[in-house]
Amino acid sequence: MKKCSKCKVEVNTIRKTCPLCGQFLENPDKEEFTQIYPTYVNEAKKIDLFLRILLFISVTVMATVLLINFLTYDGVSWSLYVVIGVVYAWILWRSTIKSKRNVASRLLVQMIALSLTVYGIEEISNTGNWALDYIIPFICVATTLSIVILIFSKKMLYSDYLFYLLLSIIIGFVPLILYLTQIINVLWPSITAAGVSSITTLGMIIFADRATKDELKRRFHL
Amino acid sequence: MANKWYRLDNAAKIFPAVSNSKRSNVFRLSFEMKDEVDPLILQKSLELSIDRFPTLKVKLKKGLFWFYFEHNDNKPMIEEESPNICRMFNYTKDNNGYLFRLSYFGKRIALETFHSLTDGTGALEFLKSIVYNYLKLRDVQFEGEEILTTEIEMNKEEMADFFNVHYNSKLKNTRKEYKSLKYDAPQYEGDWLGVIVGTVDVNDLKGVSKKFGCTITELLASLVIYSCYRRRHIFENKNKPYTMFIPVNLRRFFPSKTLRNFSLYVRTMVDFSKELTFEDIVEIVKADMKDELQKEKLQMRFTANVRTERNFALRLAPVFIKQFAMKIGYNLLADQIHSFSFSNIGFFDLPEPMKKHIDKVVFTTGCSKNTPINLGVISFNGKAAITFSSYLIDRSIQKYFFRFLSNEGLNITIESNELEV
Repeated sequence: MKKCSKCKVEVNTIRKTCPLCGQFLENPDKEEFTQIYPTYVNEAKKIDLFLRILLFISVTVMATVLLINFLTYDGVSWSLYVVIGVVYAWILWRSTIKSKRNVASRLLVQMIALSLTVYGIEEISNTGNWALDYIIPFICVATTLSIVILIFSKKMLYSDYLFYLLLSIIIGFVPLILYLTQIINVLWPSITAAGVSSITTLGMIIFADRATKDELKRRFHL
Repeated sequence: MANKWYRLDNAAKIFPAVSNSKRSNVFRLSFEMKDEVDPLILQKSLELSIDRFPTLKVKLKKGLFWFYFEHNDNKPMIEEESPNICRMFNYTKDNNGYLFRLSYFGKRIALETFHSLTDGTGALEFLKSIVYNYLKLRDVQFEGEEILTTEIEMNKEEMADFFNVHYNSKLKNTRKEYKSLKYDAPQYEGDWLGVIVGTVDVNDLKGVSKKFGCTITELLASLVIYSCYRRRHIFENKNKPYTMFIPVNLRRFFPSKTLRNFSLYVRTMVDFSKELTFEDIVEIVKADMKDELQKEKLQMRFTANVRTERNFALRLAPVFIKQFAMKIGYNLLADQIHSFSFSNIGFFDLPEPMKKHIDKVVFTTGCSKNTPINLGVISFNGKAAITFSSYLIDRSIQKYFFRFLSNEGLNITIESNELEV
């Protein structure tokens, strides 16, 4: 064993100096030592340069188009399309494609982001109610059905996905509410969305009542 | 059974909210075997053991009002030891959602556990069972009488939250908390934790404690305080008491087989502005321990914690608000009231056939930015492993500590990980 004459301790180490006081260690028997702990690896945080360049370009582009649009304003806010597009691209990249979260939660984020994007474009372009009337109800249908298919393909994930399925079902009723409050005027897409939500709910009650109840109990326990 | 789930026990509730890379709330137990560890057999023995510990076979999930543990259908995987000791857990990404990691390095089997899952007692039971299965798979012969948890039927008590079992609504907490002295010294970059393990003979240690008329825990606690006192200029220059927390296993006072958290700490406070000798500190520690280690007092304190948890208005708050409140409360209060944490698991024993294959057992505690140096002690087979884990670059507390013991005539063997990073 190596020895520190100052601390009067034996040291089992590949070090040259005492871990306590820094004095040189004596190794009278010329013993060989092995490493006891794995070697330190410097994990300096990787700076994702690509991502930073992308962020820099995005912000510059958005600022530039906003400025040009403002200086040459002729009644059309075309720069906002660019801004919406860039923001949506970021959400798509970061929280859908690159995210490691559960697939159902990513679908839900996508549902909300996509709905807001099309609604934004509709409002800016002032081209009627096409987003609220048609697109958003079908985004709801697509999300709910995708999660249902996911659950069918991997049964074990039911409890993981249930929470997001519930949220998407609830959102699926929103278009119908908008119709009933006369914010939108086309019935069939919103009634389709509400219908899919209702049928999915029915399916959950009939086929997975126990699992659904248990999951709700867990998620909402006080 | 995918439907199994557990509430977090009273002590566990705080940890998910307040953990970060510099306060991982992870502790580590490791067995140094006599032979090189075989990873394939270790993986097999982990798979055998985990089914016996349903409260560990879980993942952490977020509900609307509370976090909870849900049965984890995935396989827990072993890994090669990481150089970073007691590193923070990522609840969703690490080890298939499991909140412990079992690793191997050379002759060592190490179990790092997130404190929400269980305390030192529970983790030690789990690791004992893994090593038992490991040795069995390596053809170690066991006699009939040697049974570890693995072969005993499960007991409902193991899954119970005993803070709640021993809740006594009549008790009122009268204890006051005081702000404690903090360090003012440079720390390692990132979350690197420097570890220095000193191994001594338990009987020799007992001899020294007898000389000062105290127990081993009191001796080591006093010695830490004395070492800090001698190095007091690495502390902030404020008139606050140096406060040491010493976790106690409540199973000692309230018999219980629970494998979840069931421990609380006692504290001892020393005023560094006075002139102190080692003997003075021993007397203070002894008096504080006597005062704090009373069943009634302990019960009164955890009853107060459980009462907070049971408050109806608080329960109704969504989990993210609770988390936010806990984070603030912890940073402003709990994190300010101790300078050092010293955890002594004490003695434990294993059947003779196992003992032959184990060289020593080490217990390493995690640290935090505000309590950057802590001590963990465990004794097995006549050897006590005294482990300082520290974010501080300065190592004079450890130096004073071990030099004192070697001057008392103890044979100390020091091991450490890399300390200059």
